[in-house]
Amino acid sequence: MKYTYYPGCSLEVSSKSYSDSALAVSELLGIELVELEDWNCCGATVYLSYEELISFSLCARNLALAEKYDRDLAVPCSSCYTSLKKTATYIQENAELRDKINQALQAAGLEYKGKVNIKHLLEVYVNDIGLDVIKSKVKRELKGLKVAPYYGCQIVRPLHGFDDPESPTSLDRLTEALGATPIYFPNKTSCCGSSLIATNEELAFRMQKDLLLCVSGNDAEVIITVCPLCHMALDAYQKKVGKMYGFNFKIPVLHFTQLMGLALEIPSKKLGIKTGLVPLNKALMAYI
Amino acid sequence: MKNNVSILVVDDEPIVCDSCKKILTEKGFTVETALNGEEALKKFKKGDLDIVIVDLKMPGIDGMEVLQSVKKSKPEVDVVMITGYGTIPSAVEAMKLGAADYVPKPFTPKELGQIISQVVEKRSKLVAEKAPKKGAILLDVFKKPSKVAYHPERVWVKDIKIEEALDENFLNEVRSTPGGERVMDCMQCGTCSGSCPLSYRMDYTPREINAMVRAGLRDEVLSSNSIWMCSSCYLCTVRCPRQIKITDIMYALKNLAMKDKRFLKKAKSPLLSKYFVAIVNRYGRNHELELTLKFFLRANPRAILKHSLMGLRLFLRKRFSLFPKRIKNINQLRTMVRKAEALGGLR
Ligand code: SF4
Ligand code: SF4
Repeated sequence: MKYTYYPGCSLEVSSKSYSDSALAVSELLGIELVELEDWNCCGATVYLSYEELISFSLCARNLALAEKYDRDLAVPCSSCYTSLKKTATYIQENAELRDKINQALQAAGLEYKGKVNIKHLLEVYVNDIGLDVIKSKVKRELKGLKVAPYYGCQIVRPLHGFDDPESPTSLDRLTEALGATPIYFPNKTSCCGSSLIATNEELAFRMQKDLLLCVSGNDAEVIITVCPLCHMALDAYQKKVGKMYGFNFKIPVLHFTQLMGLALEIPSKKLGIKTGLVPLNKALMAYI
Repeated sequence: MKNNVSILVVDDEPIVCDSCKKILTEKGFTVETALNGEEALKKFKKGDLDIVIVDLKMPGIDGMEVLQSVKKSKPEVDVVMITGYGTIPSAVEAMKLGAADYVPKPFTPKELGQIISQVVEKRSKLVAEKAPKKGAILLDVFKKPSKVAYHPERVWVKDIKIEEALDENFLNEVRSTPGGERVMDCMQCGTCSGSCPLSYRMDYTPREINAMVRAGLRDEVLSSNSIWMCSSCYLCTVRCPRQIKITDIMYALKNLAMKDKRFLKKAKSPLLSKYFVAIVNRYGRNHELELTLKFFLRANPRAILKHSLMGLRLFLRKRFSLFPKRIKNINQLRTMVRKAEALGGLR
């Protein structure tokens, strides 16, 4: 199966291990991810706050480029996923927006007809490939590993429809397919606050603290994320958050593709397992 | 410097009366004192007072009763409660009955001065707002007092807005945004505010923002911190029983605020957005290092030092690059951006 792949800016550098592991896992599952030629930034929440029309146009350029190929667009970053999907939806729904975006695209010699199907990488694995196939490829069951499957907000909201917006299960089911055990995690779709980290650290830290408390309280040995921004928030800032609230959090955070990679016996170096700031614990070292 | 605000201080401890008098006289106020409720009410009836500062706990007629009779006969007089240990709940009660603010004992001269200045400022604003404009009073706007962190529970102060100050076009600006179309359907159920992980720190909750948009309170909405606190988590949007896309409304409001410097004084998010936009327009992609450095140099240079260790650890793991990546067809992107700009945005 072939998909056009939109990595997004974070996966180029700060979360390169997410991209590396996604490519390695996909290959093993028989998926070819072809990187979208000359893609640009989706604008994320930051550009959208500045000027919506330009921000939607940035996404539309990517969609126009992707439309040249008759393939679905696979996106690993939840923020990019929401930006692209939202743009595609509003282009369909809002005539005025469509008209303006078309004018902007035309000026740049581009056109978007509205045909690109956008999917998050998790959706590709769980719905298109299927858990049975994944299960059959598992070489080393992650027996007994307690996993906190963290969805964050932007993958299941707003109303994208591939899973429940408040109580999704796809990542839990994927975790089980790898032989691991998803923990009880009632706030698995709470916002990690990453869009506030730079501008309002205190507020963001409080949101992260709530998540980390739930995760550690339910004895998770690893958190898995489906978004590079959530990963950064929970991994890179974990120590600081703990310090601020007087907890000694030490929960490793992996991109979900890295955990899949471990179960598929992909060499951990290829998965970039050791690029997180929270050191790996015993439970994980057993699989490396 | 003498001003023409006159204040009555009421406390059964002479030392409190005297020190308040000293502090406030130094600030230019005309100050009288009273040692109990009875004396206070007598002086109040005789004199032409602007502010009454009164101890909650006093033998005989207590602070609460003084508050009530003052508010009953002259609602324009502001009452500030002095509270002691253990009387915070009564202070909250007092706020509900119309007290302007309260000052917990023991207080420093600076604290007292600050609270009274705030009360005075608010009075003069109200007078200025009322004086020149004629027209019907349209709306009661409920505002939180500025120092909300002091209050153990939500306390609301009533403010009044005059018809001429409302902006009729505001609603249309918001309605013409994708996602903002349905703002008129809001039934004020508050599901959005109850779900929002950040409403507890917003000047106005998402529900209030909706009501204020509809009422045309443009300046209040666009200068509130609410729009910049929104983390875009979409929980309000998926829960709203009327399918109102509150997150998108917040984006529309951010866009509108961005166009007017008046609204951006305190928030840091607009600065981050501006740097981000400049970087994306230059390279076509984000360059995390450049964005972080530029933003923190302007917004909070000390944070650079604070984060440098983390930065180093990320760098050692090759998790940020010193150089930006420019897309090949950057000219195409720029042409598109310019055209979108020329179209004047969405509104
Ligand atoms: S949840 Fe919807 S209907 Fe209820 S107050 Fe919020 S916007 Fe209005
Ligand atoms: S999207 Fe914004 S307003 Fe809505 S719940 Fe999240 S933070 Fe609150």
